[in-house]
Amino acid sequence: MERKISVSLYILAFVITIIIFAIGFYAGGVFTEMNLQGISSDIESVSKRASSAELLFLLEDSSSFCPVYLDELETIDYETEQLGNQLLFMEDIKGVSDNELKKEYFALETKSYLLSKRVKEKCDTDYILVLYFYSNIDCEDCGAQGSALTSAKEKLAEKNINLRVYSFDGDIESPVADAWIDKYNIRNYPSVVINETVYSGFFSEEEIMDNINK
Amino acid sequence: MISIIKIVEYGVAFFALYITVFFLLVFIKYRQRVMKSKKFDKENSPSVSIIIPAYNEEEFIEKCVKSALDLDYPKEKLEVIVVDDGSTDRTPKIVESLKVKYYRKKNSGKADALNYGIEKAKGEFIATLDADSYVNRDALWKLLSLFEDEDTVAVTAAVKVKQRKQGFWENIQKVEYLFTIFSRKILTFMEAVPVTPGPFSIFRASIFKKIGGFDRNSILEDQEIALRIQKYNYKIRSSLDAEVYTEVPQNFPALFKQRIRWHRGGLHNTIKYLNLISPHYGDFGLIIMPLSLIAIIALFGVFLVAFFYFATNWIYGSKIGVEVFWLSLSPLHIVGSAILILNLVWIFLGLMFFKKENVSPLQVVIYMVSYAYLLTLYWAAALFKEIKFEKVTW
Repeated sequence: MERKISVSLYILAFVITIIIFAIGFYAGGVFTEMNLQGISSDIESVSKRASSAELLFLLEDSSSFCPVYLDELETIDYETEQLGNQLLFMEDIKGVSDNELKKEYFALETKSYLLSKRVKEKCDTDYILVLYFYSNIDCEDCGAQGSALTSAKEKLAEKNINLRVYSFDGDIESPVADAWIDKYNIRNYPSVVINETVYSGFFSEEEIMDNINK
Repeated sequence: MISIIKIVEYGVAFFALYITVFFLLVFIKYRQRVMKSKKFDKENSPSVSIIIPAYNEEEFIEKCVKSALDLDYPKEKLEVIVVDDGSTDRTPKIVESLKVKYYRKKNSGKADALNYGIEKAKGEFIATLDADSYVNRDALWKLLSLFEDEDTVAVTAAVKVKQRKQGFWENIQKVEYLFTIFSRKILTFMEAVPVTPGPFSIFRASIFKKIGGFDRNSILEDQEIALRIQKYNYKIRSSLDAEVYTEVPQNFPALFKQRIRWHRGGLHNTIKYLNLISPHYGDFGLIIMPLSLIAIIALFGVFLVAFFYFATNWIYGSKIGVEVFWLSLSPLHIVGSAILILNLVWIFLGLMFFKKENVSPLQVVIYMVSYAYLLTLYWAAALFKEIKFEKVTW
């Protein structure tokens, strides 16, 4: 028998597949844009909250207001951390990196850090503030360093020790991140700053814990 | 790592979507002909020999032979031959008490037993019937009506599961068998049926003289002969309503063993007939043969992607919580949803032809969810045994 080849069906199926893929990519792009806008708007909202808390300090610089400060700071820190994780997810899982958004986030982190430092001094809290500098371009140990910090944070939380980590991407030309990098003279990644001391290179979970327990 | 995963996931998605769309288009093109059946001219009914190869089939053989003898067909035109492949149980005793031609030979495998029966058969058409399968009374008429032209040399029946305990594994196979019948019918329109299933298939007797008998070296002789028929450019057609009910494994170890044999046999046959992947063999050579190879790669791709997503989303999900769902929406999810919807359409179309089978939505869902993973498992185990050069057993 003469074999038949359904050329028209091959072509039609290909065209339909391409159309569905195009719709998928368009809709996926729309979703990503919506997600980024959502994160941006959340950063703005948390940032406003942090500004309000700073204002509160200017209005009433008294330790009697500590419960209010602490409560507000806890919310700001939690939301900042969540936004950081969302940005990390977008970058690591979806491969979407928005430098402008990261700059906004680093500014928020800095605001949150300064607020925490002030509350720590004013209210005599036992917060341990950690600055973490990483690179997504040329840093073999950065992934492991991130995990070590997360793990140390969880273990310290069990001992009621509050470790707050503020991460900065050294590859992004952010005025805020650059200011920190200059201040602590960061030259390679990962670098961790604990209690104003800079630790360059990989700093293991045990080393972090030992340092904090000193 | 991510870029490789992305390439795999998008490649698999494109392939899965293309194949789904293609088969839906084939269905749309030939929808009028799916259920169309010709009336068979009973006045000029040809002689038919039914060959039943049997090896230790004491449990099922009587019912099988009786179903063949009870076929609605002129008795003088019907010959039932049982070839006992050296059974050591009560099979010979049971068969001897039935009114059929009975031959007993030394055990040498199913293909040999079938060839032995073909040598003895006198019919113009030769049907092969597995000893653990039971034909419906009208099946023969329905199958013969599909021999529309001289190029059509084989017709396959609608193989359904003989319901026993209606347990989990039996129900999965019930749904699987129904979709296989539907898919095979669609393949008929592409002249690309790749198997003449052992439970019940019928051949023009002359084809065995032209292309030879069943291959005794193949562990999947019903697929091997179908591929050989394709090689010689003859047609195989499939029936949607000529029913035969077959016994199926009732538990996972038995099912696993059966499927390993099928997959290893399928792999051997595909390698043997690799040269059929060619435009010279039309849609069969361009779509169906490559599909059997690509499917292996695609299945591992699906498994790899699913595992990767599970691992990464679990780690990040623990950090971010429910938000991960909205954040992770990507083009792939849209394409994946399209594949799912089109597959549901395909399943709905398939089930339209099997309303009386009472397939529950739950059975379909379980089948859909488990099928790709089971298939991946079968392939992985089959390939592992191939690499180890492990002997294939029945």
